[in-house]
Amino acid sequence: MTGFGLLKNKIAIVTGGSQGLGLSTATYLAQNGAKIAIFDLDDEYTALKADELPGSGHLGIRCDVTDATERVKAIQVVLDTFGTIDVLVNNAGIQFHSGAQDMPEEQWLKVINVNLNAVMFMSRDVSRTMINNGQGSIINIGSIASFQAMPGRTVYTTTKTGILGLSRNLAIDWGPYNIRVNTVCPGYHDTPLLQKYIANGTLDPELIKSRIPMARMGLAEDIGKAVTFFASELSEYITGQSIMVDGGYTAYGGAGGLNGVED
Amino acid sequence: MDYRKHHKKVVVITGGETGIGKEVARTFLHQGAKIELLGISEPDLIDTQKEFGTACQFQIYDVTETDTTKRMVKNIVERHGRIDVLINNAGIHLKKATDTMTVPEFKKMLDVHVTGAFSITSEILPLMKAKKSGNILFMASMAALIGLPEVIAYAAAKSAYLGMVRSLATEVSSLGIRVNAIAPGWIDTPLLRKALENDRNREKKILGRTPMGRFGKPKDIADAASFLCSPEAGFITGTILPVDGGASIGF
Repeated sequence: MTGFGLLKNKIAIVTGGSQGLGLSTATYLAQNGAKIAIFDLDDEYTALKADELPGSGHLGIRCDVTDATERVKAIQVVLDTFGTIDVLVNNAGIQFHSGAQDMPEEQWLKVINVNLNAVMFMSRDVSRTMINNGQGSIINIGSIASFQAMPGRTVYTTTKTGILGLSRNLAIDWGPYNIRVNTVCPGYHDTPLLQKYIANGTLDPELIKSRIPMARMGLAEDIGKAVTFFASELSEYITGQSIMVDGGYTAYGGAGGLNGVED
Repeated sequence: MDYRKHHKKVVVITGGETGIGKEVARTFLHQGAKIELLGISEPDLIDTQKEFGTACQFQIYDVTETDTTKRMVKNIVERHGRIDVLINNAGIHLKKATDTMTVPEFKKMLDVHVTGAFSITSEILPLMKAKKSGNILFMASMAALIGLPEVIAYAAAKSAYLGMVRSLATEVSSLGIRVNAIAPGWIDTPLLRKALENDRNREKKILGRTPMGRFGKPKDIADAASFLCSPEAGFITGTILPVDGGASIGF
């Protein structure tokens, strides 16, 4: 689907943007006219993916968002290249599955560092430019785990719930500077990672579909579309909020049935 | 901005002749939709129809007169052959201390918002089911998300929308029908200006606890409505989206 030019001449950073929902988001933002800087871990792959985005002149920058020095350096590259930053999508995230009783402390801290601490400090580091500009939009990526718990996902659920509080408080701190902060919460979307989980038996697609009111997985681009809405002027009075893009998964509380949702 | 993203869609809006409803209608119209306005004020309906032109039609329809719903929907079908979007927007307001509010006043509030929206929704649903597509949008309120004094009936009615959205979304989303709500905050309409005209202090207080420090515009609601009912929101159903400058997140 072609974009609507909603983000013409806007500069957007997408962390973790070289694959999956992040890449799809970067692609949709670019289709809407934005210049993109992808921040991700593998420098060559990130540069390659940035080159492949619609339009030209996008950046792919090696940046470990948990590293203060790398963050500042990467943001400076964006400023040197494009002159400003209008949109930040804090998409980079990791998971660790473990029963809470066996949770290794090191893994717990690592997930919190990427999913929560890096979101805070990427936002802080970018806010200086946005405050100067008197405008900006930050979109954090939540999850259905922002609202519902799942077995073995303690740390993921904790970070994705924390994202909501973080977003709300950033929205209040920066509302006076016309910087909006919102959270887009994906459900189950057809991405390479999801396909991997299905292939290795971690996820049963039929079971998942049976408790999604829309009775199907989402597309990767569904997230990019919602992010584009929050990045654009169409949402200029929306801040501190979260929206589920989950086919109704979190609206539904029944048991699920193999022929669709049941009570 | 004109994206034509609702090209040829038939959009039904209750209470569409003034305020937020009118702005929602205008936005869908600019994006290519055909509009059916439903309202009770004939002069306003006529004026709005004149302003919007032939892509906009109207019927005088009181959402509390549910025995006329079938006829009203039949008229739309005869005119357009289909209904793609229903926006349950019609509403009234009543600010009154709870111990002075009467049962008829309370019931009226539920009749307009809850029973009214149910009646239209249930009548239109079979049309959307038959074509396996459609969007139903409820205009809730931040009064359904945070406590505000002296609006017990309004809060009850708008809170009912949240349950209706979740229940209906789980019931019909697998048939291609998405159901969502918007919860507007303090939006700059003639109604709000009237409520604030003799109370500058209240305006200051409200804006003081709105993180964005300003009232919203009817267009802000219209843009959110257009997004939620468009293919851009194709996997979004059962949600409540506040459009309130952050007023409901609390501080």
